[in-house]
Amino acid sequence: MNILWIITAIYHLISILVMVLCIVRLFGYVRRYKLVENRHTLLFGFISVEHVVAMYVGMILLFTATSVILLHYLSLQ
Amino acid sequence: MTETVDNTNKVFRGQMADEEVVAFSRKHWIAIMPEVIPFFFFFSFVILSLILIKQFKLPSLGEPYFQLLVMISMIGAGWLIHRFFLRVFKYFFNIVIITNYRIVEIKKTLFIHDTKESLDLRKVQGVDFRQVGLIKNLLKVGELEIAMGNSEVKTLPQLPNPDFFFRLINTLKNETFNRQQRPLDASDGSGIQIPFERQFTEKPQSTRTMI
Repeated sequence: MNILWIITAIYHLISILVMVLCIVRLFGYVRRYKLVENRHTLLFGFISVEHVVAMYVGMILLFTATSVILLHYLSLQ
Repeated sequence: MTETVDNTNKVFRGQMADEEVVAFSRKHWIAIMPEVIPFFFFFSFVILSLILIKQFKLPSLGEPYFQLLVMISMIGAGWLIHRFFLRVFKYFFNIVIITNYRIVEIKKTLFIHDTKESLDLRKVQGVDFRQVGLIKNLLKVGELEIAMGNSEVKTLPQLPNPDFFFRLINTLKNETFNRQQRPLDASDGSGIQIPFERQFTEKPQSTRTMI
């Protein structure tokens, strides 16, 4: 049981680090390319890269929290 | 006294001092749908499983095979989430920039690819615009085929509103052509290119009557 928790912790740590690295590189790109966006260039006409970053952070944090809660729930059974 | 604006690296890396960005485009949103639709189903499946988890009779977490199943599911889910978002970022990075001098195609991912291709507008021989099919016509998605001087054809696929870019590239091509011709027109009025050394030795052979 402890090994499962350790692996989960390491996996989520790596997952969050990958996310942070992606965001750092992404903002490096945004700094270099100062493109003026409009409704013709945004995804579906309204989603900008900043929105996708917010969704990415939210999704990874949700995934981490859900995994921990689920493991805790399963260990109680 | 007139001041020239220095546009070096202003909008994108590699932009020249007197280069102005006229337009830029990503691929049509239809290009990202093969990623979005499976992810939507995966996400719905996960949410549904979490809601209905109490309905299932699950084995104890002490069971080794169940531990393995939980680990594989978790690693798989994490991998799918990261992969999906990396693909979406790739969609945002792949752009076509049209300037007053050239067409720059940038293909980039966060970690692996970084390629830039530049097409000089002076070398563009012709532009073809294709929008074939009901869906493509309804969603205004098509492709541009740009013929270069060396019989090379550059295709820009899944472009949104390709008609706009077709007209834009043709206009810019004509402007570039006119810009090239202007100094010659000013020099002798014939509009015919004459090698510099011949201008002093021969009379220009022009079809236009010179008054």
